[in-house]
Amino acid sequence: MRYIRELSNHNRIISEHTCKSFYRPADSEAYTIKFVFSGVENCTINKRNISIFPDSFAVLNVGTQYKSSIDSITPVNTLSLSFNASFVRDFNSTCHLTDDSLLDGKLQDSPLFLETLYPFVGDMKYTILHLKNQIDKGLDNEMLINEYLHHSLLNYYSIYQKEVVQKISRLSFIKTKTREEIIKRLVLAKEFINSSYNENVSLDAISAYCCLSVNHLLRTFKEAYGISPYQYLMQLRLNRAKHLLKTTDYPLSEVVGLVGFENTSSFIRLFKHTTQMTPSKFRKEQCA
Amino acid sequence: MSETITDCLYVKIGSLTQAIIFFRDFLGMEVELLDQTTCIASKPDDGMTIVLSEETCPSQTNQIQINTEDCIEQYCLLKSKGVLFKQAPTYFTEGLMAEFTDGFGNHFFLLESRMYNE
Repeated sequence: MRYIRELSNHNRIISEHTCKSFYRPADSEAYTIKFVFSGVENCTINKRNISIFPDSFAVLNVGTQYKSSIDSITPVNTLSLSFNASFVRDFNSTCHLTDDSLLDGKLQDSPLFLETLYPFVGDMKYTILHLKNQIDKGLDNEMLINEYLHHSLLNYYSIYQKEVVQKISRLSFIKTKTREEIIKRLVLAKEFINSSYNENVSLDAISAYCCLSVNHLLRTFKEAYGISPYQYLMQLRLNRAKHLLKTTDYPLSEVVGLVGFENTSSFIRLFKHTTQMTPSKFRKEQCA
Repeated sequence: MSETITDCLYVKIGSLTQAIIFFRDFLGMEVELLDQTTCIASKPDDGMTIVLSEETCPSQTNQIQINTEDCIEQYCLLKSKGVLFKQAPTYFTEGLMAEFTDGFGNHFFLLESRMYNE
């Protein structure tokens, strides 16, 4: 099932509910934000493999080469928002320029975002879930769609500020270029952990993927995100386990295996330590 | 916002006829006439009741909070009906809020409460 809506300002929404799909390699013609509500979508963005889960969303710049595929037993629910380049340029100028500069007709250059996974939380989650709810009801009101799109871009800017700009400023390097380069590599490390969270992830593999030595990776990751790559992996596994406990009726042993824990007892211990309740109690409370 | 009032509110209006049009046709509330100067506007789904009166009486307020599930949807709906907004949906620590007026000097706060720590 597919819902496509192109607006008069050439922004576009595509919502899909499918078990199998494949999009050939293509250059992104617009700024695109991709969400997954259930299941997983595998993308290749500029030759990097990224898996989009329901706890994150991906951003693509104009002209980025990407392909994506879905291959699942259960239907995968996705939403893709495409923003026309001039719309984003105008939006970016409105966010960063003064009223006087805007009245003089000055515009900023097209922004170049860090193409990676961002956490699907806070206002962005509310806006997108409302939009999805409207789409499911057969949304046709262009003014309303535009308002949702405007807010989703606004929400993305605030997430970008928190996840990229603030993290860059936390790094202790003097040169801005160095800090930006380190963040790009740390983002690769996070992508690697996000995509292979259910496998035996080693620090050597992460450091090889993001082209940072193990020591450098450990130091800069902690500096930027306040936790170690291992703690990040554990948080991710726990959050994904919580999602499975909430949304499926898989037995606990299966959930434990699916999120990459080797044994159930260590999972229960960690779960209890962080959420102050057992996985079964958590499931009961969520289903109540 | 200086105060938040959600239960039974007493609101002063300039004209009962115009107020009925605003509360019934624009805001979609049920309106019941009490006498020639007073009526009750209510939203049965969230238990909100507003006593609208042309007369001045104690404990009247000019700040009304309306709770909504989706502020953006309500904002667009009311805007398309001709409601004048003083502030488009804006983010606060409580959630997303928009502000509009009724032409009698009353301020309405359309609030979508959001739980950010969930």
